[in-house]
Amino acid sequence: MTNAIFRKLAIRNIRSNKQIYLPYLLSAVATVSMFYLMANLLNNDFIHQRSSTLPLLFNFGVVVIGIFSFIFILYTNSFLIKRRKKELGLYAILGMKKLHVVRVLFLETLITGSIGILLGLIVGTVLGKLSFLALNYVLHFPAKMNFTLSAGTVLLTVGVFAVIFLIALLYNISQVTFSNPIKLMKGKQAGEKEPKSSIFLFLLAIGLLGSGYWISLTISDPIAALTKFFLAVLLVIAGTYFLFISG
Amino acid sequence: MALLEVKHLKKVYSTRFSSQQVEALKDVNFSIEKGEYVAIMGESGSGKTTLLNILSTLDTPTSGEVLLEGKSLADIKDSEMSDFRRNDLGFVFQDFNLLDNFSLKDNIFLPLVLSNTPVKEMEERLKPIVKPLGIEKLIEHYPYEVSGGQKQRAAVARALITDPKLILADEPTGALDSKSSQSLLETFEDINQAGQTIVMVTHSTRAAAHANRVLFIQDGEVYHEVYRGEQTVDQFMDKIAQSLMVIANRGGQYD
Repeated sequence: MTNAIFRKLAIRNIRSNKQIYLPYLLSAVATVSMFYLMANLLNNDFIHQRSSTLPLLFNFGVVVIGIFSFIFILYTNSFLIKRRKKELGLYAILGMKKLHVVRVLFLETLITGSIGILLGLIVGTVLGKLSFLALNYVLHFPAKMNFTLSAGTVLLTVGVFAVIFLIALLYNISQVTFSNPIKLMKGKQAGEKEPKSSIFLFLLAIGLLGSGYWISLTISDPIAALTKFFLAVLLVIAGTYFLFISG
Repeated sequence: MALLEVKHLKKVYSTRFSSQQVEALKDVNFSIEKGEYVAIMGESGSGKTTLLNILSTLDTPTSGEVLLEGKSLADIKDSEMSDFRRNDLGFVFQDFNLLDNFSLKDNIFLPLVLSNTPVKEMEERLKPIVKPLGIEKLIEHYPYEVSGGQKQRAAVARALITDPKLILADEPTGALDSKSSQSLLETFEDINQAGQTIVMVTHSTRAAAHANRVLFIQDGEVYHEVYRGEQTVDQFMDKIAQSLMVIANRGGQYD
């Protein structure tokens, strides 16, 4: 098989699966632009001049949005690949090598990932400009705030999301290679596993939630304890997640 | 030399965490000549699907071997396995397995696309296949726009387009109404008359009666077979029904 055929197959797959790829792309664009907006504020002059704690706050924001994007994109991706298992199993039965399936998946991720990141950056820039315009209009500060473009932020966003999409691709590849065609064909029928209730996870969740809220309640000086506050946020996020999956 | 030889095929499934084992195939032996149309009958749980999966190289036997034109399937390297499936086998499934987002034409072309056949050759191969199947005017449509019978015809066209040595059909009439079933079975007969070897797994007596030979499989063994010879479909159906009665009674004695 030649490169051209892989390309054609990948593009055709995305086009013909547009009912599931469109929501996936939209969610990717939304997360990329959100991350980019937040990351952009890191290097914003106004924020640097205003207060020394603001950059730190936005740092935490970037990390939280990064984690959120990671979970969000991986979840939508796992939904997407499940819908396509039958198709991939059929390719295998009709005589497509696993390596070739992997190549097609790679190209598909490359295309959707690039589009997602590019559109996300554009949307992020537009939204950023608009929100700063609105802020200036509403606040009437003597000094104008500007939404500046910086190569560093763009690189950071591209890098972070390249890694996220790469992990999603690895997940998809593992789904194809560790399964046989018969199982793949039936993959769509298998629903999501019923969550197993686990005492351990429940206790862990309670512990995390408890310590998270305890930290946030005992903080006396919010500015100085910003790191503590951030830790509390992470603990509560993890605790809530475990509480829900502990059934 | 027989086209397909199955020798002492045995398949034991064992679950990973328990010592409990299920013997799906005990000792299956049969051979199929080129140009034959063979139906394999058996109740659910008799091992039909396991047998078909092994013939399709989608599953491997615990012991025994399958020879296609004298070559053991077990000797085919992993790297050649996909080529083998693509070039030598054609599949027809119960639930068609057409891709909904491809037109019928693209579905039929899929195996050729995977082997990188030039577009011109694909188009040339398409016409003589879809015309006798009666789906010539439908090929630009999508699977959800056509009937079950038409979908199955497209699936048959997809199986035929690579000019395979053997067509493996798994309950091809299982999801069709009686009229579509009838016309599909006639199609299979026509294809077979044209020289195509077909192995069909079914539990419909009517479907089996269209074949030249019927193998009965029970408890993982082939223990009976009947030839159609010069009989009409209806006569052959009676004979198959009688054989099934005998099987049912034989099973009863042990209960």
